[in-house]
Amino acid sequence: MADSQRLYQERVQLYKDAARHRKTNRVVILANIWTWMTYDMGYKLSETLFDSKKMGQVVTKFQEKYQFDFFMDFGGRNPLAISGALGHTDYIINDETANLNINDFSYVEPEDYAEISENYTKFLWTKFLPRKYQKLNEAGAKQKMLNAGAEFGKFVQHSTEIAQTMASDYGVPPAIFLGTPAFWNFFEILFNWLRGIKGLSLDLRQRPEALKSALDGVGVTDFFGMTLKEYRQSSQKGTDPSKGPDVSTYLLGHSILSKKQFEVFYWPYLKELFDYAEEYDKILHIFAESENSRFYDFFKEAPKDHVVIHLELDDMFKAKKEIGDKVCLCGGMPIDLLYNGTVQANIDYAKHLIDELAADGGFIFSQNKMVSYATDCKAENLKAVNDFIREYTI
Amino acid sequence: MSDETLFTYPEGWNEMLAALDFLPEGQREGFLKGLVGILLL
Repeated sequence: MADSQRLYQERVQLYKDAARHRKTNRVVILANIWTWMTYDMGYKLSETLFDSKKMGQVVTKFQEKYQFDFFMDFGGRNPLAISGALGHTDYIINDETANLNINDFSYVEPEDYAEISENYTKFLWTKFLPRKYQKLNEAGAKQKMLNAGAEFGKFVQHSTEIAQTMASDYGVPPAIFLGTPAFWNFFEILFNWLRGIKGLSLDLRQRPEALKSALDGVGVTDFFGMTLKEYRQSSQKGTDPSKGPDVSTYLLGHSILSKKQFEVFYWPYLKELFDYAEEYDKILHIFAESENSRFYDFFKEAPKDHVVIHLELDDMFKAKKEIGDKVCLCGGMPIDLLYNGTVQANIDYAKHLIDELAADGGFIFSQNKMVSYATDCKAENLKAVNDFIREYTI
Repeated sequence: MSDETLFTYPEGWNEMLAALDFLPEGQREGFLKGLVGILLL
C-alpha cells in the first residue's frame, strides 16, 4: 500500500476514533487555516481568490510544509471569480495584511419572509440575485449568468482536482467545508448571507413569527436547496469509511441569541441534525464560533459519540468537564499564542491541551479561531506544534 | 424572452435552464441551483 493511502486510512480512523471517544495513540490535527494559507505561501489574496487553480498550488505546498491530517478548507471558501463574473465587488481585499472583509448588507426585506417560506428557490431567483448583483438588472443578464456558470464549472473542476491530489499524493481526506455535506439552520444563511446582523437582530424583536415561519418553511438545508429531510431519504445507515465526518454544520448566528431565543430559533433545527446522526449512525462535525457555554444544556442532548464540536472561544477545560463525555471536542490552540508566543510556549500549551483533553479520547487538535490574517499565526510556531503533535504519544 | 424578464419564476428560471444546453437536460436544474447557492457566498 502506498504511503499516502496508508496515511489516508490512518487519518480517517483517527478522526472516527476521536469522535467515538476511543483512545488513540496520537491526536488528529485539523487545519482551521483559511486565507492565511495564501499569505504564508507567498501568494496574494487578489490572485488566489480569483483563480482556483492557483489556490490548488497553495494548498498542496502548504501541506508539504505542515503535514496536517485534516483541513477545514482547501481554499474554496471565497470563490470570487464566480461572483466577479457578475460584477460583484463588495469584498474588500488587502494583500498586505491578507485581509478580506465585507460590509454588512441585507438582500432580504421584512415582507419577503412569507415568500421565502413558500418557495425559497423562487425568492433567490427573483429577488436575491437582482438585489445582490446589480449588473443583472442591465442588458446581457443571461450571458452574465452563463459566464458565472462557466466560472462555477471551473471552480468545481479545480476543487475536485485539489481534493483528488490531496488524497492521492498527500493522504488527506476531504476538507470539512465543501468536502463534507453541510446542512444549515436557515437562520445561519440569513445571518451570514441574506439578511445580515442588523436586519436579523431587528427581526428577532419586531417580527419573530415571520422569521420563525421562514425557518420552518426552508428547513435545515444545504447551499443548493436540498433539505436534510430530502437527504435522509437517500442516506444509508453507518458512517462513511472514506471520510472523517459524514455531515457538517456551522454556528455563528447563534452568537446574537440568548439561551431563550436559541431554544426557539436554533435548537429545533440543531436537534434535527442530532437526530439524523443518531438514527443513521453518522458523525456530525460542528464548527461553533464565538463563546458557547450558555448553550451547553443543548449540546448535552447530542447523541453520545456521534458529534464533534469545534469550539472557538470557549474554555476547553471547562467544556471537557461539562459536555466532554457526550461530544468530542475540537480546537483549543489559541491563535493569539501562535502569533505572539515563543516556539516553546506553543509546544508547552499544545502538550497541556492533549494531556488534559485527549487522555481518554474525544479530542481533535486544531486552532481555536479561523486562521485568516497575517497576524493570526507565525509559521515557525505552527510548524513546531504540528511536528510535536505528530510524534507525541498519548 | 428578454433580460428584463429573466428573473421571473418559473418562466425566467426555465429560460435559464434551457440556456444551459451544454449540459444534459437532467443535470441543468442541479447545476443552476448549485450556481445560485454558491452566489450566496
